[in-house]
Amino acid sequence: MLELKNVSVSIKNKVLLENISMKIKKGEIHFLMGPNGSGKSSLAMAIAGKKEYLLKGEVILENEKINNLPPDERARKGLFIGFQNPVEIPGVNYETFLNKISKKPVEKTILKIIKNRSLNEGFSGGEKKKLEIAQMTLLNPKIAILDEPDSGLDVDSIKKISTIISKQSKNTGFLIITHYDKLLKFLKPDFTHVIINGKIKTGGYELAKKIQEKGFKGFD
Amino acid sequence: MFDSPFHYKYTREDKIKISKQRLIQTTKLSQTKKTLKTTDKIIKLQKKLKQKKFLVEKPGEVNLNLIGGAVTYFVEASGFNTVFKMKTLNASSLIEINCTKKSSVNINQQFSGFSSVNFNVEKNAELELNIQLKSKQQALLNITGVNKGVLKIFISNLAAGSHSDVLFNVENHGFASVSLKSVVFKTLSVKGVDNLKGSGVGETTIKTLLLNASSNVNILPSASIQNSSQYYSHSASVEKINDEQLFYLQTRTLKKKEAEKIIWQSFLKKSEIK
Repeated sequence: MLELKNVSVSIKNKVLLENISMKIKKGEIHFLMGPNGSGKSSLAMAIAGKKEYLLKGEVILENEKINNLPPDERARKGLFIGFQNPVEIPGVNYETFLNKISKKPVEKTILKIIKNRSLNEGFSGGEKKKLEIAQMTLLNPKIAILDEPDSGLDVDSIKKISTIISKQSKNTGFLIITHYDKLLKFLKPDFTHVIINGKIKTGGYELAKKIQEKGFKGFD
Repeated sequence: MFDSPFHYKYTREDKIKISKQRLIQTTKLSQTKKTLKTTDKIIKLQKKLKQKKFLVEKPGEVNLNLIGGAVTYFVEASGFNTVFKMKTLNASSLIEINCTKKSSVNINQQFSGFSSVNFNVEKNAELELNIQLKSKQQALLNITGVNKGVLKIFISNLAAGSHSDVLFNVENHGFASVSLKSVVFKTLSVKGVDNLKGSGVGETTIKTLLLNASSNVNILPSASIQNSSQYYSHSASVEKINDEQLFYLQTRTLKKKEAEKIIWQSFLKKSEIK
C-alpha cells in the first residue's frame, strides 16, 4: 500500500501542491485528474524522488517511510513510475537493459519491437508509452504511478494497455494520471482524485464521469 | 596448453586467448627501432621491454588478453575485414599498429602509467582505441601516426586521483576522420595536432563527458593545413551527465553508480560517432 500523508510539493520555493493525502491499496485503480499545469506530474516525480522537487509530509510504502530514500531504493521497494515522455538514452541497448532490470524473461513480442534498438531512442510517442507499460509488467511493482499512459495511443492500443493494467492490478495498486476520458471507456477507477489550484478532491468513479461530462468547471 | 599455430614461446605473464585466427609473432629489436617515432624517453624505456609482434593474416576475429609488465606490441592487420581485439593490462606499453586494406583493429587498453600508440591506418581501414586511464597520479598517453581511414579513440578517464594527459599528433592524408571521445572522472587534458597533407577532406571531432561536478577537462586541438585544396572541419564539445537519464535509470531500480556507468558507456558507444 502507498500512503501520502499531508504531502506538499514545491520547486524552487514555489509551492505546487499542498496537503495531499491518499491511500492506494493493492488491487485498486486510482485516477488522478486535473487541468494542465495543476501539478499532477509534479506529484508523481516528487513521489519517485526527483531531486528538484522538495516534498514535505510523508510517503509511506508498505508501512515504511520512503521519502528520504534515493529514487533507485524506492524503485527496488516496489514503486514504479511510467513516464509521460520517457527520456531517450542512445547507445544503451534496450534488450540488454530489460534483461538487467527484469525479474522475469522478456516476452518475444517485446523483443521483436526493441531488437537492436537503443533505450527509447527513435520510437514513436505511442510505442514509448507501450514500452513503459511493458517495463512495468516486467518489474511487477507494488505500486505503479503512470503519467498519462493513454496520450499518443490509438483506441486499440488504449484498450490493450487497459487490459494489461487490469490484469496487473491483482498484484499492484495504480495511480493513473490522465486528463482525457479515453481510459474511462476501458478502465473503471475505484477512486478519482482531482487536483485544482494545488488542492485535492477525492471521489469515486462518478467523479471521473462528472469530469468527463462537465470538465473541471465548478471545482474551484 | 595452447594448440595454436603461433611461432611464439609463451611466457608465464601472458594469458592469451585466441579464437579462429592465425598469428605470427617475432621479436626483432631492430624492427622496433625502425618503426617507432617516439621521444628519447620512450626509446630509453623500450630497452627494458620485451617486444611482441602479431600479424593477422586471414579474415576473422582475434581476441587476445595480454597481462604482463611493460611490453611493446606490434599489431599488423592486413586481412580483409579482419577484426583484431586486443586487451592489454600493462602499466606501460608501446603499441605499434598497422591497419591496411579493409582491416579493422580494436585495441582495449587499461593502464596507469605511460603509454604510446603509433599507428598507420590505410584508406578504408579502421582503427579503434579503447583506453582506460586509471592512474591516481598521472597517466600519459601519446598517440602518433598516419591516418587515411577512420581513427576512433575512446578514453575513459576513471582515475579517482589526479591527472591524465592525452597527446595526439596525426598526419591526416585526406578523406580521413579522427574522433576522440572521453569520459572524465577528475582531470583530463587533451592536446591534439592534425597535420593535413594531400588533398581531401579531413575531420576531427572531440567530445567529452564530465562525470561529476569536480570533473575538469582541457582540450587544446590544433590543425596544420599544408595544401590549399584541402577541406578540414573540427568540432569539440563538453557535456555533463544527463540528470534526466540518470533519474530514469534509477526509477528502474538501478543504483546511481550503475546508472552513471551505463550513461558514460552509452556516450562512448553512441552511433553518432563517425
